[in-house]
Amino acid sequence: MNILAIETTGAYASVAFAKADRGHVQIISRINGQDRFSHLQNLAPQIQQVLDEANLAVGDLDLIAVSKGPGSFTGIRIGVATARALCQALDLPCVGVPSLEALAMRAMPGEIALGTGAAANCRQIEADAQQTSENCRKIAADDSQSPENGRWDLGNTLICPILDAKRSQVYGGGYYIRDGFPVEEVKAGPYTLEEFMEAVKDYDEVLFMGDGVDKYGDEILRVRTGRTAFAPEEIRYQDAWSVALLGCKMQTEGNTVAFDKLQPEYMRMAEAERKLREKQGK
Amino acid sequence: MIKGKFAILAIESSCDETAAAVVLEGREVLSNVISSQIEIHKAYGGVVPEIASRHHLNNVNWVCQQALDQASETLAAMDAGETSVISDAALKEGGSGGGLSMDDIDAIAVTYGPGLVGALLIGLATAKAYALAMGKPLIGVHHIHGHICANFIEHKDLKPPFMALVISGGHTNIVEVSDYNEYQVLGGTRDDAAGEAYDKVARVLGLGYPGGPLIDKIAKSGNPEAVEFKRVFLEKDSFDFSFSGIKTGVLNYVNSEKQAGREINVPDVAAGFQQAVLDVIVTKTVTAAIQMNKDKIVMAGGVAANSRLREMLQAECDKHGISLYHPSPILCTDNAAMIGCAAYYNYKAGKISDLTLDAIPNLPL
Ligand SMILES: [Zn+2]
Repeated sequence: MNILAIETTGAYASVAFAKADRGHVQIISRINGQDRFSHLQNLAPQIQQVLDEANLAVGDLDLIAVSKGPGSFTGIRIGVATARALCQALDLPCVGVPSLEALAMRAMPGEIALGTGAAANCRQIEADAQQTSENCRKIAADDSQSPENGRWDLGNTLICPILDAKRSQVYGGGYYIRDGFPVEEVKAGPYTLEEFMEAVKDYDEVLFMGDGVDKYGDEILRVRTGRTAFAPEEIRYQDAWSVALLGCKMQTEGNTVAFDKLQPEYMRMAEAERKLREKQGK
Repeated sequence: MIKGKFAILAIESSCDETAAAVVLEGREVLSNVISSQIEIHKAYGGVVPEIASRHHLNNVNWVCQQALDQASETLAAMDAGETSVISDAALKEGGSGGGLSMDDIDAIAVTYGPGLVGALLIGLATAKAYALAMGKPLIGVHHIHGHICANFIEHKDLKPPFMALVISGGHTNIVEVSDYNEYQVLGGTRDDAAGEAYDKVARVLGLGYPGGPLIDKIAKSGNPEAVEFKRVFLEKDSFDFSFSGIKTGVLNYVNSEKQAGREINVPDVAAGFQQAVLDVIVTKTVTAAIQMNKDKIVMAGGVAANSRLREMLQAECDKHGISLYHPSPILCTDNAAMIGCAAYYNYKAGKISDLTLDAIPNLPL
């Protein structure tokens, strides 16, 4: 099965092409845009390029996986509109992948194991504690648990992608990686930073990912008491690699939809609508 | 190709209408589907970009599908020999048919500016994906070129050169059109577009939104000479406009009357305001045509449907032996048929876009 994956909810457009064969997914090619928030200009050419590199035509595709949000509203729309129109024109099924879950998957070491082309760009977290401690800023709760002494066990680490939603808010969620896929532990949704830190307060080991780290890293370190790490930049942001993997899994679980059923996941009302409803007391 | 003719699927999403159309050889409209959000934005007193963008995304695929389906119905009606029903079938709502598909389309056209960037990009992302999927050329269209080209659909014999008055919610321009692809802007507004001034005055008068049709309607029962507002002609020989002064004049008048405890005659104020705005527009447009030796004036844009403007411009054109053209109301509002028409002339001139085509909110003419 030939899968095209699109991820435009972050600052850089990312497109991947993957082949799936009885549960084994291989990333054949991936292109990440170089210009911040230039999705509209870059996405369609990147798709063309990814297919060219894989020596394929659009007609060879079987499934389109798209990161449906949360994230940049504009980015979400460009990705979803593109996926919908491709599926409509090519008569393909599509799958809307939650961006936070896909991002959480980047924390797992599998990013190396599964993809050949992807390997060069990616880094492992669990396997090499030494490297992890170099790349991640960690605060140990007490010295006996300092990063030099303890390995980070990914199975016990709560993976928290947080995306900057402006005005001290984030779109965030907490996941454990089980059998290579994220399992929701802290409900994905819009939070104030304070609310989110409260929600993850009782977890001893937390890895934060996403552009929320760039924005709120210092604040997070200030309030956290348990062990805390930030994903290294190589795996910190949204990427079509994990959208392809998760999309493929969702497909096998029967979660594909027709193009007109693919919905964006904004997680927040338009500001004008919120104000209007407030005024109307709804 | 459809019936041996070059077929364009056009998409328009620059403001608050999601529209798609199938157009043959530039002037033959097989379908013209418009999904308006105007009722949604009324609650906010104007178009909210984020909300418009969300609705465009919801609507665009369905609107394009409708355009293909209705084009099929139009073709079926033509095949049945009922050529006289073409335009009716093309403009009517509903329809489920089938038969026509993307494969029959030769190019995808889309508005890439000016407009709301978040709104434009829905049409653009969709158009690019269609073009990529079908391996068909993509043709970017200037929204205002589209408005002017609406006249080519309405008047099958109309050809450049002519003078165009482009007047809509966001634009007030006098444009010299010397050929299908040659547009020279002679003048534009230095502050508010005419449509914006209408919207603001309508709000002050408690008429609601959108202002253009509401003021036009209520002004019919008012006396345009009862309240006199200053006409702003700017420098001699300038074809530019300024409407903020007239708008402020109305505001000041309403406030001072209120302070004096006098009842405001809304129809009179609306009529006086409209007269002041239109006097300037009509005078400048006809002067431009005469100076540039044009014997035709073409009206374009949403406000071109304004009945008083048409009356006044017609009277002035009659005096000077100028023919006046305007599209029917459905082609005056934002629609995709006009984009398909403009795209055809772009295509014939070799103006084809590539997949990097960006949305340009302030695209100059
Ligand atoms: Zn317009």
